[in-house]
This record gives sequence, structure tokens and C-alpha cells, in this order.
Amino acid sequence: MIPPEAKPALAPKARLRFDRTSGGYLLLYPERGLALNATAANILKLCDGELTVDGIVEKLQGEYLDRSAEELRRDVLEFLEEMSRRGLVRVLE
Amino acid sequence: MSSAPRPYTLVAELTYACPLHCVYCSNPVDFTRHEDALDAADWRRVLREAERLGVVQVNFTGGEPLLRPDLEALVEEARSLDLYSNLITSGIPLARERLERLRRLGLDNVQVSIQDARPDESDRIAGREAFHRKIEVARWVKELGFPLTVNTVLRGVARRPPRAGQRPIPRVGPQEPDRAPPHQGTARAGAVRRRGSSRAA
Repeated sequence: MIPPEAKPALAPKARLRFDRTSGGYLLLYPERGLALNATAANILKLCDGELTVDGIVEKLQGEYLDRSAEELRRDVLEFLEEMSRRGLVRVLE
Repeated sequence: MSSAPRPYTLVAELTYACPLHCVYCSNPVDFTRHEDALDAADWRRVLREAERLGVVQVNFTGGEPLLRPDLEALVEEARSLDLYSNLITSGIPLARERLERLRRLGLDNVQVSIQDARPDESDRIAGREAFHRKIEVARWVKELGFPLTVNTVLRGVARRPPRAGQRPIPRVGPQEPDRAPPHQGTARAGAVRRRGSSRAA
């Protein structure tokens, strides 16, 4: 479980970049890549190793007005845990 | 978003020359025809054209891509196109200084081939003494902050896996396990101007 005060960062092997062919964002890593939807890209852009999970949720709130902070935190944590399982996000204490 | 089919990865076979002579390799060996090899200017054009087709990742392979003295220029071009670049190498010949230079130029990942967990068997398959050098190169890769992937070809002659609990390969640093998937959306460009099936170093 990722605690809300944790500071997520992209794994060193992962590179987040805009993809001009699709107009979306890709997360690239050795021999593989993920095509991200807009929300996933918005979350990963904020994974700078400085912001906490709560800090990320706070930044996203302005864009996701239909979600409560609690719902947003649950969604963000669920996504980050999946990315962490895949070794693409690291959680700095 | 567009959903048209597109290539994501370019497998760039820069040369078929290789210091190893692995028993399972299916590379062409008639690379004395090197007058036909693409030069750096051609490869840079291929990278630019590939990027326009949608490619976002390039695997520099061969043969042994380190045998190209112009590898640096190609890594630089890949970086300028924002391609994620992988060096797929036997680790031979590689000086630490060259690896540092490639890192500075923007190389993203290094993949080192290990032919077998046992040094003598690995060297037998590779047709030369190489195992300990490969482990040293793998250490440099980690020390310089690259992600490291290890490429081991599964084949019929590898019938005796390491016993349970036996550490198969010397530790070179922490790493998340990640198995490569079957290649999808992959475009290939060969070292010479003709089609040929091949294997990485």
C-alpha cells in the first residue's frame, strides 16, 4: 500500500513523452511502452519525487471537479499501485 | 487519438559483424559484402523516416553494434528525435569510457547478452572467452545509472537450469523483473540493402 504522504517518481528506466502520432502520451521503457489515457498522463506528469500523493490529488482537483478528494485519492492510489507493481513508478518515503 | 496501425519500434541491425560466434545465431555471415552497408548518413535518415512513421523506440543491434565507430552519431540522432534508445550488445568490445559517452549522448538502456549462467558453458556457446567481461560490462551499466536488461536465448542445449536457490548470474545491482513480450509493432532495418533474418548480439 502506498501511503498518502509518499512521493512517487517515475522509475529511472521509464520515460514519459508526448506522441505526436496519436496526440497522447506514452510511457516508454526497455523494449516496451504504454499508451496512456489523459488521466494517466496527468498523474504521471506530477510524479516528480517531490509531490506527495496528497499533493498530486490536490493539483488534479481543479481538473476533475466531478470527483471528491477522497474518490480522486482512491483512483490515484489504485493507478500508482498498478504502476509500481509494473516497476514503472517508485515510491520515495 | 488515431488508431491506425503503426510501428512503435525500429530494430536497427547496424552490422552483421560480431566478435561472438554463438551456435544458435542465424545472422548472415557473408558480411564481407560490407561495401553494401548503410553509412551513418543513411542510418540517420532511416531514423528520421521511422520517427515520421510513428516509431518511438529504437533497438541498436547487429551483429555487434559497438563495432560501428559511428554508433555515437546514431545515438545522438535518436536522442534528438526523442526516440527511446536501446543498445543490444554482447558487451564486447566495450570500454567504460565509451559507455559513459553513450550515456551522455542520451542512450536510454543497455541490454547485455549472457549465453549461459555457467561461465565455461557461456564461453563455449559464444565461441570465445567473454563471460567475465560481460559481467563487468553489466556492472558498469548499473554504475552509470542505465537500466540493464539481460538477454538470454533459450535453446535446446540449455537443458540443465541452475538448481533451485542457486544464484544463476553474479549480482550486478537491483532490478525490477520484466520479461520482454513477443515483438509487436516492430519494423526492421537491416545492415545491408537486402532482407535478412537475424538475431541480436
